[in-house]
Amino acid sequence: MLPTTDRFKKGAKETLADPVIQMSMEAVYNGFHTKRQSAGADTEGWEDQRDRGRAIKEHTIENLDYYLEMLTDNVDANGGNVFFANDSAAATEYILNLASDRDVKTVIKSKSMVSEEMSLAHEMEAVGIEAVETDLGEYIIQLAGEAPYHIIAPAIHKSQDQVAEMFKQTTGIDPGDTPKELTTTARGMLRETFQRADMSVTGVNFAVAESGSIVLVTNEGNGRMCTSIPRVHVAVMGMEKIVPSMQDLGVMLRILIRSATGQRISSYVTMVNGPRRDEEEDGPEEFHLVIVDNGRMKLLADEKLREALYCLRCGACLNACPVYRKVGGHSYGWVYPGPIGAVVSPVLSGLKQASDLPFASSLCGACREVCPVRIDIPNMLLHLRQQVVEGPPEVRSVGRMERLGWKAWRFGNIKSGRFRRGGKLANRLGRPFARGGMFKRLPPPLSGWTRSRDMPLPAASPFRDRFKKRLAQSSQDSQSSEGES
Amino acid sequence: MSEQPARPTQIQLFVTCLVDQFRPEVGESVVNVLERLGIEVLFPEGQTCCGQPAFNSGFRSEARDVALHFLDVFDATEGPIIVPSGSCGAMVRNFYTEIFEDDPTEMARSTRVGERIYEFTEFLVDVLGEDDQFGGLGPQLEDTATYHQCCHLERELGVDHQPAELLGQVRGLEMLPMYRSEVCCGFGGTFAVKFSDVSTAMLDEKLDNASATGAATIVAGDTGCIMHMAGGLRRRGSDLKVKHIAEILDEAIGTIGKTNGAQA
Amino acid sequence: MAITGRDAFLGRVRGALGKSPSAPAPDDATHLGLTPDDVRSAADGVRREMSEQADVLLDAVADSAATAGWKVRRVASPEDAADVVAEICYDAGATKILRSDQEVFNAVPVDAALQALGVTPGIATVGQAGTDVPALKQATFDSDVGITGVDYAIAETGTVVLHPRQGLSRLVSLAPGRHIAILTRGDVLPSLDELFTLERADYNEGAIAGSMNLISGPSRTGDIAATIVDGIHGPFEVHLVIIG
Repeated sequence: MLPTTDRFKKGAKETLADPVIQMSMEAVYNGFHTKRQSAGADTEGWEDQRDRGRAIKEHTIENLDYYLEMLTDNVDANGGNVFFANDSAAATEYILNLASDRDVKTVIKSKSMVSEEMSLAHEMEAVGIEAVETDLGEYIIQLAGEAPYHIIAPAIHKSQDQVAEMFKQTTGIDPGDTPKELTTTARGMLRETFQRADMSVTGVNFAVAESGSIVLVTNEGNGRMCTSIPRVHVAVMGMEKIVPSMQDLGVMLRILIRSATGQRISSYVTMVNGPRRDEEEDGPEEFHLVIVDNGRMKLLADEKLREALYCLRCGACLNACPVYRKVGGHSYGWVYPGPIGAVVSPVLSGLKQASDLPFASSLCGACREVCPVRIDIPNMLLHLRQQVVEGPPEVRSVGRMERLGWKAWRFGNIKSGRFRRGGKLANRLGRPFARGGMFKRLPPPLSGWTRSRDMPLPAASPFRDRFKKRLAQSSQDSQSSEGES
Repeated sequence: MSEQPARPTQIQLFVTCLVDQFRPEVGESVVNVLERLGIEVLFPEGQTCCGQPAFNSGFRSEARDVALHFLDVFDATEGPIIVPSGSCGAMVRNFYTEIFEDDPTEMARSTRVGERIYEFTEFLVDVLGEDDQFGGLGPQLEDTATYHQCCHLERELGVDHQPAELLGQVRGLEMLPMYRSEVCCGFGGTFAVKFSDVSTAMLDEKLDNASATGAATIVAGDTGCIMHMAGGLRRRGSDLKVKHIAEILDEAIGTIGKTNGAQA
Repeated sequence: MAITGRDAFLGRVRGALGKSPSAPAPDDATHLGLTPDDVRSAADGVRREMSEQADVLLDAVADSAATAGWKVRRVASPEDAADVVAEICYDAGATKILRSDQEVFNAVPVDAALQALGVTPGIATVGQAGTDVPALKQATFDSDVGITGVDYAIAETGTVVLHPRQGLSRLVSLAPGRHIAILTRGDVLPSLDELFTLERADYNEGAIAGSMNLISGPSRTGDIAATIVDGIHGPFEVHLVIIG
């Protein structure tokens, strides 16, 4: 997907002004977030499960080479194929060649954020393959020609009227207007496609190193369709989506699903151990695992960013984020929105172009509070902010005026005399412009503040002066009382 | 169990740059309450700022120099350091060790000073609270108020119950729960200026939720958030007031406006 | 089969981690430290617990399955189970019914119960449904109801576990609009953790299936206006018939 990460402020402004989206986005807090909070409270040993989940991910990432090697040996032993893709283009090429070679006409896709990085459906359509997104939310945005709005609910920004309109245009018939009617229409539309599919492309929630297995978590059943019907199944994974042992899956599934939707478990969890066995009734004859880097090595190589690779893509951080809820998914300009997106999207798609993203946060910490594996997103944002200011030329992008401003700030704050005089000066210079001690309008850069808030004048008598007076008063008082005693 | 440390009789006040310059009355309230509780308040005059604004903006080198000055000032003192702010307290306690991670000497200083710092309500409840000192003063204030949970206070310092405990001891003060009280008000330091559209949208939601409680006053623990909320309320022409918790406690024990709390 | 591009890729991973190629394997900080014997003995322990706690676990899964969205019926005998299956199909107006070819149907006379209503269920195997996989697929999509046994159930989550294999198609529990699963006393695991212990043991013995499905309710989506709707791609209704 081509990044439009430099459009954040513009996108945010448009989204803030869109009442339909603002209304839809409330579901993110009222639905997902509150359910996640309840699930956490209702799960015995929840904090311990999170600690264990983090420990598993930390151990795995620190030994990623070891586990990738184990995974691929075992996929191979199961009769599967493994392709290591350095970037989106390599992954796409592998899959398109495979499709061509196997005479594939129709591909069904289940949810895969990595495939969004690749714009895979689009690339397939360009060579004449019918590529259909089968996750209902992905299907809707595919019809709309849009990028996903949320990691697990891609069409969360669409109202049911907008969806009805899209379905009407696609099918030419009346699709109904309630969610139930529209879902039934979609079921019919997609059911027919499932039966025709020659190849499927799925994501991977967890790849298990010890057995060469992959695990898919869905509620809809499209993942199961993808791993049951077509002749060829391709699973695409970010290189970090790995756990050492099947035994780890208990913890990981528990914390992933409860964090994502608040459910104890999703309707379907599917484990695939390679292609079908001969004696089975059905199932894909070929299994391909495409392991993708596409910039993840950069996260891995930076010790301060490494924990971004622990991410389970549950979306809990989005659901807790008050910024995301207001600006929506498209403002972030690439595949991953919200708090984790503000870290991953710049690093994977280019920090210079995405330099607004690490700053588009009040650092409230709600994301870290809900992350199943306790990723310290605010800390990573601070690290990226430092890179934007003090990093190498290819990522540095802060303006001269701002640099001078902070140099001046530093000057004024390393000595208290200057600090105090600076305040007095500001008070004196500002007084003529401040009515009732408040500014209604300030020049840039502070104009951003006064657009919606009054700003007080610095105090004529700051605390330090008052305290000094107070001390003087009290010693005078005690002197005079001593004198009286 | 090891011996309990002796109850402090003297503290160093780190009043914060925003309180010093924009809401000095908050600092006065902090002093009034502490003095009334029998604590002598010292104010190291060399203090300026903890460095957080620059640190949060990515200007770590500038932040470092200001942090060094902070350490110079406070490491030359002894005893608990009290700060009426969750974010400034978090900066010193949690982030100084980040800034100085490559410098063992400054790491040691940061750790030393960081261990001494307490947020105001944290100090009142966790350190002084043993003998119900504050409650014992018979705090009383007729008002309806609603509490906004400042992000760094709870999520960085873990101060999650102390403010409610103190407010709960004030007779006559009706605390009304705010919907989404734990959601960020949208201040976020320079975020409020750099992303003012988003910051304003978050502020509007917070102020709508606060107004909906019917309370007369919003109570919070961080001056940046207070200025942001108060500034927005004023722009709306709203009667709703915003006060720092220190001001509420000061008013409740009858020392507000006094220049010397001990003599109240 | 094929592994392409591994060495270079792993070299870059090691480079990013700052590890030399000859770095030792990690301490088995997680469960990989267990020997196959340890795993086997853990699995034996799980099977013992399934048996000793059978009644408690059956009660627990009846509860959690209902919470998860299964329509749960408890019966005393296999014959009663067959009657309930027939009742469900009759109420649904089902005319095309498929079942898997699993051991449970030796004890539970589903065929007879359904024939008494005038419907003969098809057996969802390649040999039975036609001569090939496409015919089986078509049959599952055309059917109103799919009936299976249960390999395990999980009390923690209200889950039915199926390992597709000979006699048990991947699609028979997915494509029809309704799925009925028959659970026998003694097949319930306490939680996900015990399931994966058993799976590990199977894997170590080379006995793991080609795939495994955990089913915990009807197919559902919340993708339109954040409203939960049952039955998007999989069954809109799932029934758990518990014997015991």
